[in-house]
Amino acid sequence: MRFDTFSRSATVGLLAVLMALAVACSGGAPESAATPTVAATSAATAVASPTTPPLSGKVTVFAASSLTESFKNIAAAFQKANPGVTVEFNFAASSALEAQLKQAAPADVFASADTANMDKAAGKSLIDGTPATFARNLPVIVVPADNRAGIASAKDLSKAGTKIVLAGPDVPIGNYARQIIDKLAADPAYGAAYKDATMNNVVSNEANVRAVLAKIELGEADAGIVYKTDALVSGARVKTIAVPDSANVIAVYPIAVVKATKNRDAAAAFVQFVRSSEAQALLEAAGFDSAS
Amino acid sequence: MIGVDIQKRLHAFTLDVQFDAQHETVVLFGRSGSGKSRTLAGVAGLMRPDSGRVVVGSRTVFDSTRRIDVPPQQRNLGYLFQQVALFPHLTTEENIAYALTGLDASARRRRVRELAELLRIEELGARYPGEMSGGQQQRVALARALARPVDGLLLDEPFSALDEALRADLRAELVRLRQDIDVPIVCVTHDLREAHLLADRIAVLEAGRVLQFAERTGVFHHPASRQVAQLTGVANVFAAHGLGGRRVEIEGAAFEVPQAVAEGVPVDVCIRAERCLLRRTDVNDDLPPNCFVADIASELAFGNAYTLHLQAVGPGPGVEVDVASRPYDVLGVATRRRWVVELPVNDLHVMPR
Amino acid sequence: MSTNSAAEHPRVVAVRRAWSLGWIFASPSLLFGAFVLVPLIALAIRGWQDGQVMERLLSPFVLHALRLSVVTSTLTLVLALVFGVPAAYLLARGRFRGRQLLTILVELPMVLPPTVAGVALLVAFGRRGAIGAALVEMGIEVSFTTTAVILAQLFVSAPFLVRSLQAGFEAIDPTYEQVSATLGVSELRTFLRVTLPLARPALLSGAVLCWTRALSELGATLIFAGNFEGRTQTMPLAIITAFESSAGLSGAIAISLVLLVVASILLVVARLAQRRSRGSS
Repeated sequence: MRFDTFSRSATVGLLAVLMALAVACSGGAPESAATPTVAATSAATAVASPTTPPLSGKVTVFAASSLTESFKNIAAAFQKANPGVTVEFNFAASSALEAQLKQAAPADVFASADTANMDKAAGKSLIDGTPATFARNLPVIVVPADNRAGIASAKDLSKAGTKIVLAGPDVPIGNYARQIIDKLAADPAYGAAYKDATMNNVVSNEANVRAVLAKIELGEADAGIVYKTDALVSGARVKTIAVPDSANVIAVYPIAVVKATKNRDAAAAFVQFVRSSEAQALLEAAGFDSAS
Repeated sequence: MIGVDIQKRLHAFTLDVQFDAQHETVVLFGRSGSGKSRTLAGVAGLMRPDSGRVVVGSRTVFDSTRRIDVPPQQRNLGYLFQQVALFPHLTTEENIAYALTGLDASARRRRVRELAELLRIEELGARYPGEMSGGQQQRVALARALARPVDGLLLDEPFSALDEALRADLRAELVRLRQDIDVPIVCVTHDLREAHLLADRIAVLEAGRVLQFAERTGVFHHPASRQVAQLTGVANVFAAHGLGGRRVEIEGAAFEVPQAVAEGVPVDVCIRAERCLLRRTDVNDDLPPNCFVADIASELAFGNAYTLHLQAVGPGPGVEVDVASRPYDVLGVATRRRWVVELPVNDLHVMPR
Repeated sequence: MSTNSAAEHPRVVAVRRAWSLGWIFASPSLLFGAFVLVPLIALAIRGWQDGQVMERLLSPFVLHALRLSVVTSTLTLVLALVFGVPAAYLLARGRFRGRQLLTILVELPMVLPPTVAGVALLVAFGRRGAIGAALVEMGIEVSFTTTAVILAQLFVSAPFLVRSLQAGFEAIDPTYEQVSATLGVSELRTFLRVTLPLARPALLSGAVLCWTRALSELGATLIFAGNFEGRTQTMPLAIITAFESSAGLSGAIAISLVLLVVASILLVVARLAQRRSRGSS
């Protein structure tokens, strides 16, 4: 008897808790909307010209993982200037985003970390018009903060027993990393054996740049190649080692409106805003190099 | 031989049982819940008593004071469970051979055949338990229990799950097998007839205690107390007073008894219903002692026998009398109400009150 | 005797009574069946039509992933049996304090999202992890190895085996074990000759559940073991990697088809084994 009433009230209590949680979670604003940690720029002047009606609706932005923090800040500024618009994000490897766009995933804007993926999208008529470059980035080598493996330079990557984590070959940063290794192997100071030795040390091909970063922060791997902007995000949790200039590649970030967008005006406005001085300042603050 | 003296605190009562079994069959008889199966489990080692001693053959398998507790695997006792419990995933042959791990294949087969012949289950060799009747299963279980040489056989209400016909069949089987099985047998049952049929000695249990442990005739005809008498199906138990010498008074009438009872001493006197005699009132021969006139108050017709309740006319007790069907017809019980009831002296038994 | 006769007779009664209920339950059942079948059939058809898919079907990329998946999930099953059978028996028959707690612990991985399992395993067995660091001292590296894959699979799939087997053991009448004891057979041999055979249906179905769960494990593997062809890239991981790579949907379809076929074959084999065991007991 006692157990019956106990189990009944326990069930009711559990259901109540679950319902409360459901309400609480749905009550909040959409998760990926930006939370303001805005840089102080004044004059949140609307980018739209005075005669056009105010923008409204949702803008879904597919952006490379390396843009996570900066784009959230940019979106906050954009939303402040255009109160009727909500910006939602899907951050992932640019190759994954392109694959999703191919499967007609609903999106309004596509910001890629390399031209290769943008070109693929353009080749499949997934984007409108010509993509515009809005930022550049530079790959760097990162190691855990305590650097137990004692990696001091790019050359150490080929040391036997070093555990290297890269992004997959189709992910922009993964592609850039492999290009860098190829270039270094072509340099007589490193030698042709450098490539095999280094690639042998690769223990995982992660899905995106943030996954690589996570493994380095955790100390699970000895070294990885990410963008210098990512290294800044991790701060003291990782140490950065520069890639020799001669071998480095410049990551070019294009942005475009998705052809199947349901909110063309707001999407175009967002793209323009990203190229505006306000957004550029935010990108620079995050460590990106300017578009030109 | 098997010697048992164990105590265990149980939920409803404390078990405190003593008995022994030599080259004989001892039946633990009692109602459901009287502790008989628990006792058997204690002998087999499936239940650990709080204190006491159990001896099997020449070995002490349990002794609480000397911290001896031999596990059931090593007590060398055959055990027949109430719920048969043949291994459902093994055939009859495999079940019987289960305990014969020490033998090689041909020796095993020989032994299985021996037992199958003994228990008349030769044609059941390849069958699974699910394909056999209850009676057949019980025979297989018995064969299995006897497969390896044992120092004793324990049977826990082995026939209670069977219908009457099968029960009779298997009881007869057991009696027949007695000659081939030369070890002490302890059998638990709540069936009186079965107890008498199988037993050399009977231990009557009630609420965990042995009320009487004696030869079966002793228990049946000379119960130790009113309680034992009632448990063993004695219908007539009278409260009486001694009259000195070999006489007692029951409900105002004097009766002669086999034992001397001092004057005024309160006793119980009992006689089994089937030992009472009826005489017609119109017969004028000299009447033996312990006769009195009584009228039939009620009658239960069981087909093979009749149970009559007679009430004394004048001083004397109410008596239950069993009359078999032929005597019933010959005497013409159906046609008369008044009878002379005789309680034969030597069938009366005096018990302390 | 009575336990089996009930099983022999209900057919007659059941067939007659099921009819009206059969009609009522038919539509939702068919709908659900279609819901499951249609995507699989679509997958097969698309794969057949798409030329790229047929090319990729037996590429090294796919074969490496297939071999890795089959090997790791089988090893996982073996380990699950080695540790799970005794555990299941103790949980079923044991009377010890903390038994309830242990049961909950065993069931926990089933309730947790696999990604949580991955994070937990990383924290424990990663190079800087509580246990992982000690292992590194001894020269044992777990992260980014096939061992990590097996650990991740074991963590999420072993509970299925244990729970199924525990229920199986609990359903066995303890009287059988007592009978065996009185027949002079030791406890261990009783377990091997009576208890385990009687629990065979539960063992088989638990093993199938465990093995399929291990085969399809993704979240924990991704986080804990990494993604490297031939070493840690199991089939599920390969599918995601292909999908997001230049191979795209075609690549994903190819691997999915291979996995579908392999899994179906193994399920059929397992079913046959189950039917044989049920027939004999």
